[in-house]
Amino acid sequence: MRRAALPYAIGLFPLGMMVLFFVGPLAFMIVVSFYESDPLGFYKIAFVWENYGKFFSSFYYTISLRSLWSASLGAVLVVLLAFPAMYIIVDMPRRWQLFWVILLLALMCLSEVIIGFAWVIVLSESSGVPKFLGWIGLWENPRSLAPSFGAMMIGYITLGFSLVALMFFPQMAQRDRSIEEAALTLGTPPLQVVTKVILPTFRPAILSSLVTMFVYFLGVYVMPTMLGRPQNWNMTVIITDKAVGDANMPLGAALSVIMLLFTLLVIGALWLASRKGRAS
Amino acid sequence: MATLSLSNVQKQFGSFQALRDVNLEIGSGEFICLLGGSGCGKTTLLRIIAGLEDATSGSLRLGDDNLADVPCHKRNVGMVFQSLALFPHLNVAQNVAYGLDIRGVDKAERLKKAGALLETVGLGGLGERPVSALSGGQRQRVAIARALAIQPVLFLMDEPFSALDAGLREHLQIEVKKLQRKLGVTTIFVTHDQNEAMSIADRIVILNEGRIEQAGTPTEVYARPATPFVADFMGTNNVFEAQFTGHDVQLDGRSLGAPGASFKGLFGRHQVAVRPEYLRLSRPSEGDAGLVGTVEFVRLLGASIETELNVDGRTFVHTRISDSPPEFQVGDKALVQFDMDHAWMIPS
Repeated sequence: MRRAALPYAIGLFPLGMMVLFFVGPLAFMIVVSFYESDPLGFYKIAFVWENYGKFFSSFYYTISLRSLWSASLGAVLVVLLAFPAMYIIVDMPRRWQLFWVILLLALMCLSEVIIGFAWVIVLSESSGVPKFLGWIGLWENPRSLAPSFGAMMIGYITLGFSLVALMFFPQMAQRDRSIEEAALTLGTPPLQVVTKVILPTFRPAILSSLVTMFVYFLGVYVMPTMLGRPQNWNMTVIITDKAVGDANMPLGAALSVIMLLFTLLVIGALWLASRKGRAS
Repeated sequence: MATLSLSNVQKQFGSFQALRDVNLEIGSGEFICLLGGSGCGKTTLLRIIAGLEDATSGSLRLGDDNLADVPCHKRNVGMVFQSLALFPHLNVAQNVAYGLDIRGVDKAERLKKAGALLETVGLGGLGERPVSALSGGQRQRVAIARALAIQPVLFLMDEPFSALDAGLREHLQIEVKKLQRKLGVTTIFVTHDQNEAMSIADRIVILNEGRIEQAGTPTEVYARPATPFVADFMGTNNVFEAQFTGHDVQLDGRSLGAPGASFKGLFGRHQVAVRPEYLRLSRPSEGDAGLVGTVEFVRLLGASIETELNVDGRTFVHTRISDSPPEFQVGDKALVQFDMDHAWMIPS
């Protein structure tokens, strides 16, 4: 009897962790999202749909679409850069592989704020790339490249690159290289080997990296505020602004719930697409 | 189909010389086995033929074509890799039809051909399965069918059966040989297993340290090894240096009997190889002046019994048909005699 109960008892630990760190706060957020905001405090206990109704104003609707767009674009750019980079790194001699892996791990240790500041300086008119381009005569009237949507994307890429590259590392390092050689012997031109064999083989890893980065970039706060213009800010910045700046916790909670639903929808769509791809 | 000619092929990896002056002619429809131990260069040679590696020097010709000018993807060689290298994102039929897809064959036609090939290799009806759902032997057949689907000018196999159990390996060896005969495709098969090479090859090419030691039919390399390495590698040959006196053969001053017809009138010291089945063992009599050794190991190998003896520090191996129980036990003394009519002198 005692032995039969043991696996369930062990299973209680992760369940407890999930409830404590995820389900509990989420449930609290959902409950709060139906409360009324109180200009003198965080909220008044009530059950209103008003906070969700505000989302359908063009302001929040536009910001939501913009958040999805910037997170999607950032995820695609990071995967587009990290995939070939890691593909090259895993075929390097062992010591160079080690060098790159340590460098990527070091990049992950940097705080978002430091990365943001570094890019602000590099993209500034007074001391960065624009000044250099002006100095060598390639840019007649240099101006600061940050804040801008492009600068924000650069920040996203810096944040996500090492994470995605390291996600690819184990699978790429252990891949069966003879699969690519088999494609060659069967008549596949070298460039076509990438599209016909390499990318389809790594499709699950690519999709999971895209989803991870998409979810990650939906929640970033520092990069949009440091490197983006207000019109580039994502929903996370707005939620923080509403919940903390305007002390409107119920609205912040409702917007968070809606973003969570959006995220689940996108993940679900990608999961369905990957299943369909496997079945065809 | 045309003859494949390799002339003075060399391959260097940094300071390591993988292939040295390889010269070989492979006739159309031949089944060749490249045989040798680890690092002897057999896989490198196969990869050079496939176009996956470039030779450092030397030439490769297929008929009138210089293969060095033809990139791998245009050589039209079907290759079965040691890892099989099946495409995990495609199902069985799609794997087999892949090469046809690349060649622009329309979908219905290529799936029809894939289906026919799957029938040929005994996997009819499994086309829709993912390759991950197949057993090792079934995957092997898919890899073979995929390589043959493109109707290759050369069919290359790199130790394809090394990961399979003995029974399945033997079964697939027979199937591959039958299939190759049926299709008449020139086949080059890499293996480190002498028995595998003996059982399927028309000709065996034995490589050692990047050089061809001997190329010949299985019977030739088995019975008439050209070098001590071949004699040793092709199984349990008893190789020793004997003294020929014209009418007698001696080992360490003890007579082994009269030389066979091929050694008549031979003088001096020569390396001799005698197959284990041409040794005779008997109970020694008291004070026997012949070659007497101590039995060190006896084992039953199904159809045969193998006995290993130590004669003054030399090891000799004897085999006979296992139609009766072993006559000798470990520790027994035995008189060793050689059938010199079947001995082979290794050229110096």
